[in-house]
Amino acid sequence: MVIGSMKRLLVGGVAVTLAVGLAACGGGGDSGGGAQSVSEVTLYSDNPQWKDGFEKVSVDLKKLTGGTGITPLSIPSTSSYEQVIRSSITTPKTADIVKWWQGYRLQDLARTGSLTDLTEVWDEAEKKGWVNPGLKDQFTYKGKVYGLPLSQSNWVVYYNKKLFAQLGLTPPKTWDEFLAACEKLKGAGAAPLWTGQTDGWTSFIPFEEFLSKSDPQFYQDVTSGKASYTDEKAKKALAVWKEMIDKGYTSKTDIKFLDTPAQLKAGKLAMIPLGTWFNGTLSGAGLKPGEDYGAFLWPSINPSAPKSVIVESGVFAIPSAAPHKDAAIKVMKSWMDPAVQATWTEFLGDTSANPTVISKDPVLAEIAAEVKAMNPTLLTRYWEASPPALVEGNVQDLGKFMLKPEEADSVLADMQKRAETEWAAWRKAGG
Amino acid sequence: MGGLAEGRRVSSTVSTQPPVSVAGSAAGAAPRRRTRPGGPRRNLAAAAFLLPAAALVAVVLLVPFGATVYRSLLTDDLQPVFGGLSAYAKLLDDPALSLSLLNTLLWMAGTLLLPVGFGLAVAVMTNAQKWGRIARLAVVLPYAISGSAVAVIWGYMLRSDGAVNQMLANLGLESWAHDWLLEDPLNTFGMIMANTWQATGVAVILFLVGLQTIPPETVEAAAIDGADGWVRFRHIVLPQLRPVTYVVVGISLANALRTFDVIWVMTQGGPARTSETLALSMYRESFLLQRPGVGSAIAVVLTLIVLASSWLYLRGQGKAAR
Repeated sequence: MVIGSMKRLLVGGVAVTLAVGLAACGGGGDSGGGAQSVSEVTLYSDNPQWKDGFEKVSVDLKKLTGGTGITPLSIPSTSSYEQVIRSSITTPKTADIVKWWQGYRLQDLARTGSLTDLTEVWDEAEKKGWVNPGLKDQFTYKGKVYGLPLSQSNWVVYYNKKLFAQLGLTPPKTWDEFLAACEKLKGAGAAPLWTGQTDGWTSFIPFEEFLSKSDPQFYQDVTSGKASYTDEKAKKALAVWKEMIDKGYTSKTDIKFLDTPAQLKAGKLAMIPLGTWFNGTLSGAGLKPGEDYGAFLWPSINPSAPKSVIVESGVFAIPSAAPHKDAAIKVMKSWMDPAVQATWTEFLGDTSANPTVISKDPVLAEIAAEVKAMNPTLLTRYWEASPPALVEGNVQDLGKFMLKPEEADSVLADMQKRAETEWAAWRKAGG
Repeated sequence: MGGLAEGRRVSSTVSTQPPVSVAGSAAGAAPRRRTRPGGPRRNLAAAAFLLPAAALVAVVLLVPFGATVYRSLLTDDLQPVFGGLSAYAKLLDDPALSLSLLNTLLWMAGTLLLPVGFGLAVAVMTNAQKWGRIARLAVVLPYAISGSAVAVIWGYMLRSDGAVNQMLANLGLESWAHDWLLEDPLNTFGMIMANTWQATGVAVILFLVGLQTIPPETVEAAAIDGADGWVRFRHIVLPQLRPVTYVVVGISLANALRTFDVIWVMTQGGPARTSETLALSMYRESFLLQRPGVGSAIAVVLTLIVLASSWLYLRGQGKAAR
């Protein structure tokens, strides 16, 4: 009797497990017709701090879409995030919307056929004046748009306003002023400029700035595979960097970028070169924008070179295998809406890619005014400006340079060798 | 003693019975036939019990391994084609991967010497002491912390403005300060130390179990014969700890080869891939550089290293047991 009932229990248990398992497997199959009933679509990002912002935006989105909002999920390490998205994007277990990066990174996903064509959504937004048409190229692969901008970040130098005031410093307008400020800050016992490499990607920041502020055209040529990393211009950029390392103007390179706000607050660090997307992180760490910290645009190293600013925009894309694809498209149609963008960029503390949305943040307003007055060439960030495998390899080499600046020539030779291999691979694969 | 003798008697009565009946039936092969019929059926039953486990191993281990070997023979293009051993050739070509192999061997040597050595020392020295329990607790406790948490703690200690350098500065030993995680091979040594701090605990527990199984009479006899502490340890205790040492070494070896969390959290294999091990290289090549062919080749090489070291180790263990 006991054995009999145990057997039944076991069989029942197996049946239940199987049923649950099958139901879970089939969970991704209700795209298309089920869109109306979907009240939340999932959105993956690599930033856990955005959770509250997404939840606020979700309220606005629900009003505009007739009830569909977003459920944010995050994987808080860029490297792990990339790996998870890449390996899950072709399966029904992927998210409805994924955060990604523009340029070659987006193309890299789009060319595998794993993203949904959003050309129609983009064109509609552009017609309404909700998106800067100049950004379209960064979201396009073979004539089709595959994503919408998360924001539009300019790359700036954040500085410790109190420390600058104590030392009688103002944001530098020329390269000489910048170096003089570094010298004074170093004398005051602070690390003048943060440069890091422990995060795996941050080593390209000084490289792209020193290169583009010397010769923006060369920066564009070298990142698009038209010029060589062993060119004199690249060597000069590394020489500028080496001089800064040798003079002690750069911080220790094992400070992670998320640890910099605390260091800035403590007065141990004076300047942090990052995108305006970092503004929200700084204010979130208890620093008051405009009071504790400010931001300025990098001065040109070569005064006769055209003015330039590095720009970056995160991307929202919809996987082809998204479980609730139609609902996700509906959400994306409302994403660039001024009401949504105002809520989102106010939370983010960054500039919207919708030109009709103006930020109230004093630091961002100042930068926006500076950009407007300068009318600079907008350059794509290094991370997105070349094929991903090339950038991933080169950031490792630049990390090596940060520790052994005397090996600049061999580092550049390695970068060029990789550029040749990876560009050939990219083109061979139909890029 | 009585029980044993009784048992023998019982078994002997049982074994003497069949020949009598066999002789009666005058069929020489009968006893074999009679014990055999159960054989195939029993084998079948055994197979039925083994099948789920064997199938599970096949599905979750052998099939993926076969797929990995197959993938390692394909190219890394968008539409992969057969590329022979080209992925393996790249493995030999790339200096970052050669360094990764070297680091893996360093990790193997480090985890074999340190946690096993410290574990044995702590277990032996605290076994007979009254305060030993507290000392052991201090050593064993880190084992309860996850690898990532250990890495975060040690990362804060070892970074250039971290606790270790601050302590050295306070002691007036600035010249001893280093960028522990930025200099190669210091970063690998630092991470092996972090791993040792955590992994020694389990070695201590296992060695203590081993020590408690040693009959005290053997040690007492040696003491009466005039053997001092070291001689007793070297010739009486250590040989009797051999079986447990094999277990500890086996666990440490496996841990060394699969180390990922500590390195990923502390240095991400950097700077410039100088602290990568094969497990990290496999991840970087497959998922970050999008070269699943090379990644699979590394996985195959890593598997071969694990198989070779396990084989050598098990062979040694077999010999020792004989």
